[in-house]
Amino acid sequence: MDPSVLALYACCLLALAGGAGVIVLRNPVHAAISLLFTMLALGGAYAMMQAHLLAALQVLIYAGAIVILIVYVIMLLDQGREEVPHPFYPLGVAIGVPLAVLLVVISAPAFMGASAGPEPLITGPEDCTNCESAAVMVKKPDGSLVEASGCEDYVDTDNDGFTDCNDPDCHDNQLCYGTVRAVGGSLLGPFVLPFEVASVLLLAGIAGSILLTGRRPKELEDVIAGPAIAPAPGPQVVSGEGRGQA
Amino acid sequence: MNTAFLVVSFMNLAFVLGLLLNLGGLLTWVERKQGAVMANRIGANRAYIPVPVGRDPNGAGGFKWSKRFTLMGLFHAITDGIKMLTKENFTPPFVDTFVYNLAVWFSAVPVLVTFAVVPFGGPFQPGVMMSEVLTMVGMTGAAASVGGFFGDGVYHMQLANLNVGLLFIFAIGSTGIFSAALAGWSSGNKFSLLGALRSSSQMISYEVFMGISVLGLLVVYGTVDFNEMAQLQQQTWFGVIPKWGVLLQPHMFFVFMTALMAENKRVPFDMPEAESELVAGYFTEYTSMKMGLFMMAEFLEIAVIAGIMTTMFFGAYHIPGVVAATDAMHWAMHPELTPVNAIFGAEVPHALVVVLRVGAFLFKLIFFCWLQILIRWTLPKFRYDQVMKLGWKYMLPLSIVNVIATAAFMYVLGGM
Repeated sequence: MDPSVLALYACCLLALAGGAGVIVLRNPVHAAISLLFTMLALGGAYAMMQAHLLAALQVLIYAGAIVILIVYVIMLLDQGREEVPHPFYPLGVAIGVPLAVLLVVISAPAFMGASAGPEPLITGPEDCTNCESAAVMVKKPDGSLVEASGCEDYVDTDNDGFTDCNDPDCHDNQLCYGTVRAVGGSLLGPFVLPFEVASVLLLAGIAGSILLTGRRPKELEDVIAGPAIAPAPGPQVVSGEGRGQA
Repeated sequence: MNTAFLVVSFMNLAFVLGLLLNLGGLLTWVERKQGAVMANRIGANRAYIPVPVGRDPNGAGGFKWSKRFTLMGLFHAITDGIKMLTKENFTPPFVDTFVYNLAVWFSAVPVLVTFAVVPFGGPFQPGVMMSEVLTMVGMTGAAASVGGFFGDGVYHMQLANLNVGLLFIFAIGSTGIFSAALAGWSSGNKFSLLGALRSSSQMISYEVFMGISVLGLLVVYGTVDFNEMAQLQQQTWFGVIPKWGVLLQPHMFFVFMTALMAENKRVPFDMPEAESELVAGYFTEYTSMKMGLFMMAEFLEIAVIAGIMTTMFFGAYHIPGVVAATDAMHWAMHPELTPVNAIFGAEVPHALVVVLRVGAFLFKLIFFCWLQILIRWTLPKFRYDQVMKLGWKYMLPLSIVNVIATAAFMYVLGGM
């Protein structure tokens, strides 16, 4: 079997194991680390499926930002030293197991019909006409000569130092699957409206979090907190002048 | 995947690992010696090996040993390693063992992995290069067989030729935060926990504008691929001035370098360790080589930062004014990028090109290592609130303004 397919399956297994660990482990930090390995393994799986940009973003955002925030909050609250009790919920099992079976039943046909095997990992185009004439012999990084059958990431059809998917000569080549140029082109091209709507949604989220956690204006604070309580008498602070005289 | 490709990959791997691990050791010496020179001290000069210099006049058949063969204190790097490896590997009873040991891995591995996308010498043809060298020394038979083995395939002097280049560095680099966070939490020590909290908040804060600060440069380059950045920096203004990143976005050079240095957690950004306040911060409870790996990771990161700065801002492996004849194909495809080949004519031996490029890259790399250690011994430590203020109130707004201004400028100009 192709080593990259083996690596893909290894990543998938690791992701599943990590997901199980999140549920099973009773220590919050251990569960967070388990989640981290799930995220890293998903990144690896994306990379094995030639979606390099998605893999980088997966690691950058989920492993690097979200899981680290989870760990940070656990540390800040000084939780995680003691194990969380492990009660058994019969009702949870009664709801969860049928739902899991339902999920498998619904999604199985999609997987069955997807493909006969793991072959179409690279869904490239049939030709690369924008770069050069359609059928040219190109040199792969390993030195072997192949006919240019797709704008693959590592092929430099016109031998100018730019791989096809990033070649300025191939501007309208939207077929380079998973590359920065292709994903960026789709985000700012056909999917610009959902993209912008998502950014507005995120902006609303940021504004909401500032409103909920930030300092309120003084007059509003009084309304919310009620009459201010006088501070408890603390230790007497000796002023600088007093010390000097003593 | 044929054998030649594997052989070249292992050659690249050997070069990068050899370079980084040796630099990690050497930089400990540079740190000591340069700090000593800057502070007008003599510096690292104690470690030595005895060398026989002649017969012992008193003893029968014995040797007379030289007192000090210190080699400018270079042996200190070796003695450090021996010391770390032979000290007691003590795990305190109150730590969370699994997390405690995992954190060590997160310190050194991301640093080493990030260097995978840094191109250290551009495209090269090992078959052509080796047969040239072998022919020069007169081994024509070997030259032919080596040339036949490699063919005229073009390879990159880079471990992983990834399309996502810079994003890969950000992604892998961001997992480095886990080393400090998990080490501090698992140690079960208040100082460690404080160090971990500080390091997490500092690294998260500086990561925010580390990405934004280079967005302007990415707009100019139009790519995040390091190989293409290197190619683009061969262009010139008026055929003389190289279009290096540092000349395109000089202000962002400083911002990006600041962010990278803050990620490295060394003076003046050593809040997480803060020797005078937190003992050793997040790695207080670590001993022997585990502690050594935390230290080693910081020195490795100096070299990796130098590599990234070189590639993005200082023309990667290019020497200004010297353009390799092997890129003739590139120039034929892009006549607008006129090469300036002032020193050599049209035909330059490929082996010489490779040596010049790798040499240029190493020279710039060492320059940036020196610069970082210069900064470390020049600036005093910041206060914690100063670090946060610098990041959020100055660097972040400056980066955002730069992105908008650069984008507007490029829109008006319609290209580079």
